[in-house]
Amino acid sequence: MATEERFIYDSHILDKTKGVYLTITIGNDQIGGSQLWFKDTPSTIISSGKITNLPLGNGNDLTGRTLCIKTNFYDRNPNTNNISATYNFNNGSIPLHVYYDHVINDKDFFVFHLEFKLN
Amino acid sequence: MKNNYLALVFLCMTCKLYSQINTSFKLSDLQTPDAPGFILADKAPASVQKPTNPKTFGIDLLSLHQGGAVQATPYWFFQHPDYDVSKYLHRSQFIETLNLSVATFKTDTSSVVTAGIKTLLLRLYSKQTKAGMVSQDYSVAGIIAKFNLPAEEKLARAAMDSVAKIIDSLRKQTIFKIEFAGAYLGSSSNNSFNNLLGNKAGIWLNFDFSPFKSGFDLLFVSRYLWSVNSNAKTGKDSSFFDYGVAVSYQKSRFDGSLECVNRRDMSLKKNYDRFAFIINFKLSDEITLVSSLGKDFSSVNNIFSLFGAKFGIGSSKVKVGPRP
Repeated sequence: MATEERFIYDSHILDKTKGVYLTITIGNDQIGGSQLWFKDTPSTIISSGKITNLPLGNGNDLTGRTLCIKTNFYDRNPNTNNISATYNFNNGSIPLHVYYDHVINDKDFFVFHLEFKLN
Repeated sequence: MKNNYLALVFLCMTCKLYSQINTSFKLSDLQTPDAPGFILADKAPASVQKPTNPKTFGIDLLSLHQGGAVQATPYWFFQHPDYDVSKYLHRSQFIETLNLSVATFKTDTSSVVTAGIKTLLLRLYSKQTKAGMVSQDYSVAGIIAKFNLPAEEKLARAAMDSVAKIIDSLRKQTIFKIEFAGAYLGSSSNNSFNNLLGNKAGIWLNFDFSPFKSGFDLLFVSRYLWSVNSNAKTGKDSSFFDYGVAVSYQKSRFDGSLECVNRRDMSLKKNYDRFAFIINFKLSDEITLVSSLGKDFSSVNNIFSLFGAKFGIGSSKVKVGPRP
């Protein structure tokens, strides 16, 4: 029983004319939840829990900022130790960012620490 | 721990086993052995089976004529990033529960190998249970997101373990389930694969009706079996139709069921009955004892009693060695 962590640095190219909405899907029938904040305002949590169509702001306003996301996983599915999260910005030419990993033992925890540079 | 040793001794007394086990299981998964090959061969303690969640990979060990089965559910070998509670509730379960198995056992005169397949065709929940699952999904996401892991792992574990139990409990609250299964059986008189000859095949449906949250399940089976490569002179070139019913009650560490199955020999126009009382008793999270007592289909020597144990050792790998 343990907690593993993974740090991910990525970027997302925005369509600056549109609003940005984020949906996070926890795959593999596992338990997961996320917290979001912007790197320049770390004490302000934008949202916490299940993230579905969360409005982040206008593309033009978000350009240049870095979105930080912490996603915690708990391996509840006895059929698999795989974990995955899909970050869908609903904006931009490639809106989906999918990351995969796995825990060692059943009921382990895993944490994704993500930083998305928004361009 | 004492119970574990007792069960080990019990197992070693009844059969020789040498295997690796790396799966855990729950009482509700334990209408053992659930490999279709054992059902086809009438070697299972229960003939009317409760549809269960198949294991990704598992080995069934039971003192059934030195038999064993290997099962795999290929769907869960791969990543499924879009599989969340919504997919669980609304997508067909056919692929995700498709379970393949190979079972083997010995008779007095031959070695038998079976290949089996089973999958859930239908899984129905009440609107209330569905709403509960979706609501639970939202609330659990809110809870886990707030933990500062790994620093707060202990706190998070206490919370998540209890939440996982609630989710498991909700998922078991099906109103109705239909499972399809099929198997093909071959035997060899000299333990050689070269002489392995198909004997028997069968397809069947298991129905599980549990409208009340009382622990009672009403189970039905409808099964068609036919002989393969048989000798017409002996009258074995037969086909059979089974239909049966069982009442199952599950509570805590105990699962008991009473079943009655009628077998119609379509060629000889004869009927045979089977009655059985089956008990699963969970000694610990890893070990369950299984006992079955009743009357089998055959008209002679038809009183049977089966005893066995089922092992799952969490995620650790262990070896259960042969009797010295």
